[in-house]
Amino acid sequence: MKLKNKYPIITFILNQQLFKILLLIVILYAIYAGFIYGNTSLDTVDTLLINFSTLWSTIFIFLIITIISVSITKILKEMSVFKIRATNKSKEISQIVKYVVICSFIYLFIFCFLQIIIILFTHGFVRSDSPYVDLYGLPSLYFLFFLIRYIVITILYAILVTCFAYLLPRFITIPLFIIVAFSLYFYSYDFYKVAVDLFDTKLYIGYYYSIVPYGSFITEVFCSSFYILLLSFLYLLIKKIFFSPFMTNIRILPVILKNDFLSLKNNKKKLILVFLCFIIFLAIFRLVTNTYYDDSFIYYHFGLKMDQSTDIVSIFMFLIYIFTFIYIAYYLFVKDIIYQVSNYFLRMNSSTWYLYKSLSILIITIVLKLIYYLLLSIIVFYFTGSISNIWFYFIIDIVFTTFLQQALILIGYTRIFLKIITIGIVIITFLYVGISIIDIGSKVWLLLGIISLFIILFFVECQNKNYLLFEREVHE
Amino acid sequence: MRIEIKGVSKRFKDRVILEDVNMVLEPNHIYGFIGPNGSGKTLLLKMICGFYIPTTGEILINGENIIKKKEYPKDTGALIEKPSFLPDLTGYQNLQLLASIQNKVTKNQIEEIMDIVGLSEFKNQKYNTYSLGTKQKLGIAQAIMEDQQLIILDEPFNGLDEASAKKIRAYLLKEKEKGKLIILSTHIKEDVKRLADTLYMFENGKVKNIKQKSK
Repeated sequence: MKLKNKYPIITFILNQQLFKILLLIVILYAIYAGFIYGNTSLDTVDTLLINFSTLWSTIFIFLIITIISVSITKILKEMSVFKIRATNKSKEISQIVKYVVICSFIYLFIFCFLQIIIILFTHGFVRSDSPYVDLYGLPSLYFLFFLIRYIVITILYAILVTCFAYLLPRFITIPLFIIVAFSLYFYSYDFYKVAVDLFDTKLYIGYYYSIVPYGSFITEVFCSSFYILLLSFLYLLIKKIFFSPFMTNIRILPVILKNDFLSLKNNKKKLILVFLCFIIFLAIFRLVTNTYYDDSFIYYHFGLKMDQSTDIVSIFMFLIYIFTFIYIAYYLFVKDIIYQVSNYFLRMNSSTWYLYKSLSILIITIVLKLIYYLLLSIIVFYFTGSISNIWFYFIIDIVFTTFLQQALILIGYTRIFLKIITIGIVIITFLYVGISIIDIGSKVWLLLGIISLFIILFFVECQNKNYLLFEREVHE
Repeated sequence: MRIEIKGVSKRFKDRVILEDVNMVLEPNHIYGFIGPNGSGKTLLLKMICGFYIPTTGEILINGENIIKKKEYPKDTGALIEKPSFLPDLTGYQNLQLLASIQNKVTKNQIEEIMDIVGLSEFKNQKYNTYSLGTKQKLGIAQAIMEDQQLIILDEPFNGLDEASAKKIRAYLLKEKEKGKLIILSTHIKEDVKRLADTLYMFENGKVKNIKQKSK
């Protein structure tokens, strides 16, 4: 009753149908585990420890905690009375985390308490001179430590799941953390070696659910405390980066990105398909008819190389390649200015829109180029049996394309003075860096610098002149 | 929210669209802009939103010059020209996507707004199956869903049947009583004649006050 008055939101959460079902599952599993896994002839503390570190128990608790965290986040995110009281995102996530911690603790407590009681009643207090696990001669103290660590690390896991559940859609969060839960299985068996190779196992959360002997009890306490601090730091870092008032605008990105992807799919599907089909058929035709093949063929066909020895078909390829991506950027940029005036621009200022629009164009460019590179790589490999490493050029290609896209935006939408400066910069860059992507090499850093300059220039222009995107006669 | 339009003129090259427009728009009031197509009504609405700037004169919103501000006017919802929505998404999903930009409204509030504009039964239908009138209702819904203090609706009753138009008129009157400033623009005088407290007639670049509610 007291809990009811003090924590109405917790009572509300726990009264949800899902949470009642979860509670029933936790109770049934704890009873089952207590009777089945606890039925050993080992020392009582050994039995308790083995019981808690059983692989299926660990997977079970990870899944339950994932569902609890994701569900609480969903409920509170949609609860207007709760939202209104949280003045900013940072406070909102702190409040959600508070409720996740309390609810997770309640479920963990029931889970642990039931198992301990059942084992103590069915197993009794059996002592053994040669314990199964090295308990540093401190069995009761070690079990207490293990239990506290078990609960603390599980709660920290719940907090991290909450952050992801807040930031990502549910259809990503739940499968992601189900994979994490089941990765414990792989960690324990077949993929143990891979896990060791990939990262220090002490950083892996599953490590702290196993009974792993350390040199001494103090060392284990120290290492565990360090890990707990590390997880806490990770939470604070996520909160600082993704929930600071400055980063709250990040939610604009999925809106713009989704709109851009769907608009491309609906309105420019034919253009993209024709472009891809054209380069595929041309590549197949050239590979079939060419008797001689070397790396330069790939570079010319990918639109990566442009020099005096380039044949007419390759020049055509280069131009199609460059102009397709410039046109896509132009279309994505202009469509919002024409069709999303009242939808977007009274909800965000033009400089914010520009930043996220640039990011969206970059992501779409990367995805399309990735498809393009993969398709051509497969075709070239199929016909020649080998392919040189083109993925380094993929990165330079993205930078070069972004440079052209940003230059076009700047030329199209600024004052005449800035247009002339931009055209000048583009000409000087072409003279110095060239237009052959394969020959850019280390000059890519210069391109990155120029892209940053373009973005800053346009951003500042948008900030100072809100009307810049709509006015055709920009007033000086 | 209070808007002062002082001596605003707008020219595109040599063509004068608006000339020396002066008006003060107060909260708790519905204003009607009427006039033939191309008379500059939409252009003035866009200037109030900060999308265009006057060639001469100034527009003050709550005493601040809109041109000097680095942001478009806050707390403003607008339906200007034909808004674009994603055809593959339902009306509800489209509103939800736009609402996530400011994150001010809950799912329930979006549903309420859909009910107000008469879109409840089309909630789960894809936008590309909507009729002209239903599309218009969705445009109105996006303009009012965040409980904005300034509501700008350009030709809001286009394509709407009489029952829906009546429902939206009733809603606008209710919102006016809450202290909101509402601007409606139309080329059909009958659409706003009864609704507006003040009417402005746009013709040949000039703006005339033709109805003023007695205070």
